[in-house]
Amino acid sequence: MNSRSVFHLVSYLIMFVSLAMGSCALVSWAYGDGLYIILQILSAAGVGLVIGGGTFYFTKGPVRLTRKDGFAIVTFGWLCVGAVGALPYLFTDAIPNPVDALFETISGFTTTGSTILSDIEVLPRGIIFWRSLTQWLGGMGVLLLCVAILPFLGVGGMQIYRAEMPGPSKDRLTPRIGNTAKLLYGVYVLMTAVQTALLMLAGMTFFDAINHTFCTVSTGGFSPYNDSIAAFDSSLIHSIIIVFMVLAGINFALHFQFMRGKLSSYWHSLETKTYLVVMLGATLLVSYNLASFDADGDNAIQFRDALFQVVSITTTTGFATANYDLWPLLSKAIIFILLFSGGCAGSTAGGLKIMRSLVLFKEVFRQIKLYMQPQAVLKVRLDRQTVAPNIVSGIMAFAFCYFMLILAFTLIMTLYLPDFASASSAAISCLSNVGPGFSSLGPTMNYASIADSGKLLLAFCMLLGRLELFTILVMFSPRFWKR
Amino acid sequence: MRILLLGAGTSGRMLASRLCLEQHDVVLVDRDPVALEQVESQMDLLTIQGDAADPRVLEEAGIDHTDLVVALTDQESVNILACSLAHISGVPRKVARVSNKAYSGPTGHFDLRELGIDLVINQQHECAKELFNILRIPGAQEAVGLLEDRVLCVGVQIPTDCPLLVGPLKECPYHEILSTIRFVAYTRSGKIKIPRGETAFIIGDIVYLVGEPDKVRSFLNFLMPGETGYGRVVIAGGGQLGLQLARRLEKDSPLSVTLLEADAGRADYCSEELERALVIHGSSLDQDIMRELGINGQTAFVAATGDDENNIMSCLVADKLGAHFTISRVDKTTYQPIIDSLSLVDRVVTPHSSLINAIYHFVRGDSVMGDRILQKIPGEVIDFLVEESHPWLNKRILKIKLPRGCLISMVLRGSKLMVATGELTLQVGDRVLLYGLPKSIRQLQDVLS
Repeated sequence: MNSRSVFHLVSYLIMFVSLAMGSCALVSWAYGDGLYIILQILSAAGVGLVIGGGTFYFTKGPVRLTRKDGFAIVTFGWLCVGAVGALPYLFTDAIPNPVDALFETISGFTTTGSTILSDIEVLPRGIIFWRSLTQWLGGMGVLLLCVAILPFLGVGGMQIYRAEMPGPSKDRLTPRIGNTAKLLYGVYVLMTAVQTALLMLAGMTFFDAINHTFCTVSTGGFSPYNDSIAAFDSSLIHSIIIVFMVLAGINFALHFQFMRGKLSSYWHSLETKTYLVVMLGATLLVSYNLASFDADGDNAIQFRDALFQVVSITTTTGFATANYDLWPLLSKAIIFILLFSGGCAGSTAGGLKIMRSLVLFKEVFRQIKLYMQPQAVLKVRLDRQTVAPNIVSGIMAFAFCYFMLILAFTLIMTLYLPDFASASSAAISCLSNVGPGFSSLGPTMNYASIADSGKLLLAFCMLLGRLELFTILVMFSPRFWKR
Repeated sequence: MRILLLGAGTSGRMLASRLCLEQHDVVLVDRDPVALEQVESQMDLLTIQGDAADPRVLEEAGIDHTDLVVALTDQESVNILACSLAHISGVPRKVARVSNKAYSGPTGHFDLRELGIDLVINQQHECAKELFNILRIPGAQEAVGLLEDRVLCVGVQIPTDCPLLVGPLKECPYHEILSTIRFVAYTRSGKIKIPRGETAFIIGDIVYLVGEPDKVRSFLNFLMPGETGYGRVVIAGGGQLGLQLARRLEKDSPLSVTLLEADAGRADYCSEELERALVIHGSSLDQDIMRELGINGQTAFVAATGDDENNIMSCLVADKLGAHFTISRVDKTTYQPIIDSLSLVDRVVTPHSSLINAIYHFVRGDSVMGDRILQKIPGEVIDFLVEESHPWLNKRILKIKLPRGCLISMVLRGSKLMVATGELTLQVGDRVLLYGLPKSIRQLQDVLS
């Protein structure tokens, strides 16, 4: 590992995040948080800039990156960003405990959306905005933004892109990685702008609109309100958020092709179709179950709640308009299963990803056919293209790792949580970057009650999930550290 | 610029890495997935696995919005077909590598430009040209031909007995002979500088200059009085490169040529093809044969077989026998640093880089006619045409704002070659020779397009 080059690039990241922090001081000023808060946010940004600038100064020199360095940059980059990003919470006393602040920041950047805050509404506006901004930056990837902005990240950029971008398919929209990153961010910014405008038209204030948008398009799930989206009793607002959660969970390369005028792009992707069908099927089942459970309830509201919760969990956003923890068992089980699924590859969603499940299913069918006819030459095909055997085995290894990590973290979490439902849902929810879980971690609860060491473990779990396991797991290989 | 490269062989990879440095959008197509994976981990480009002449592959590579196609696979038929397909798709420029000499140039019956291929290039032919240029200027570290070989750009090392060592250039008493050529750049302790009137050369500087071949030769005689030159060239290897070089030498130079070929049939063929040159059947690794050739201080030795190790070995043998100068063809680019650090041979040529040199101007704008990348110093010499709306038109060279590390050296007007002086005004149709460091060339991109 070339530590000088690695930390040189990480220093850009720290400085960039510090500048973003500084912008929150503006929000604070605009919404009248008071001089103390503004100064505290500015000093947090200042400390970040000094740390970043110092690292920049002491690591100056030509940047040379290998494949290994790409992983190191992403892992250390995210760790450093998580640490520096916690400063505003600490400085403004919004979250006095450093572990809590770190948990909240990492939950933000990884777009998990788990919170330790029981009362969000009392926070200064600047801090609420920072909380949402971390999700927006983390959604598409902080480092990908650097790849888009810093022209010298040519070869290294590809390593970073590979390591940070969710999902097994790394579609390159253009030959040069910097341009691909720019285009992806272009789609992202456009989606953000459209959703903000729509939410304002639906009656939200600008502040609420931008905060909710940041947490929707990134599939994050932080809300400035304690009741999450339930704070708004408007079907229109719910629908807008549902639509944008769905869009954020679709491969951004498809959005780009759609905007380029290839209107059939979504239709040609089996993954997108499956993703939509899964959500639709789950919604119908849940609303049927809800209707038979509570015969007196309004069916339209039940359907709306079912749809919102299903979409929110599948896309790994974690917004809530109803407390699914009080739902009947079948609905709860469906939500539990959806915690695993995740959105599409190449989207901002986390989780196992629909594409991996699809490939694994197809591989299972292939194996079954081979049992019957061992001489058959069979290929796993997706969207008319053969999935190479090494990619299939990579996906199998990923899935195995994913489930093993869930088991391991469930085991560990039983030490911190009162019942099995909360322990296992904590592990799944954090590894899939969803946010809420079940029982003591249900949609109306929070993670504050867990001991500090448990919070650190869960924060690590979120990072593992956001960076798709292997980026971080390679760092644990002794080989990685050998010269 | 979006560039489609077909073939990830040595030339393809060399060209790709250069293009990536210049921030072009490069798409590389090859049949071998392993080679592609290796390239992708080193360069910022898009790779596509497939057959270069398969329309579906070309479509996938985005042929409809490609600006330049360079076909460098090892099969000329694939290259020609791929370029023709690109022509149908409306790609503005196409370059194809061929190995059969009958294809290259419009001299034969079949002019491939009618298929829409802008340039048909033969790697061995380009390499032979480069070798010829080096051989006709004794003492040159590097010699590249420009403006259809009407001008040579030559790099030489200042020797101890150089008459220019007396002081700054403008105070030298040799104005007459200095005005026949133009210094473009020199390097001293690793730094590149543009010579000015105040510059005083010191021993060991590597100086680059341009001028007409004859004038350059006589200037070098003046600059390096100790360089006696050679009267004879021994070429080992009668393959395409060796044979073409021999033919060119016997036609355009007074040097006497001996060609050594190990294969009896091929030696027979060479002997038929050549008029004056002496063809000998034997291996350049055979000490007895080499001794019998009478290699001495008057002999330049060129090892041009397709085997890198043999070439280097036979150069060492020739050197031991007292050859004045040895040149080895080396195809494996990874050998270059080893050869340099051990100073095994005096000069190395690589057909791959000759090829890239000959096609690189296609990457620049329409008005750029030639672009030679220099080997011993960073930078390149660009030959471009001043067209109607060029920003430099009707400007005195003195008034043209050039980035640092750039210099206009020569101007070709009609058939008249002029050393560029500050007072010269550029006219439509002038061809201008410009030297620049890579960074400054990048700043000139809009002027050159």
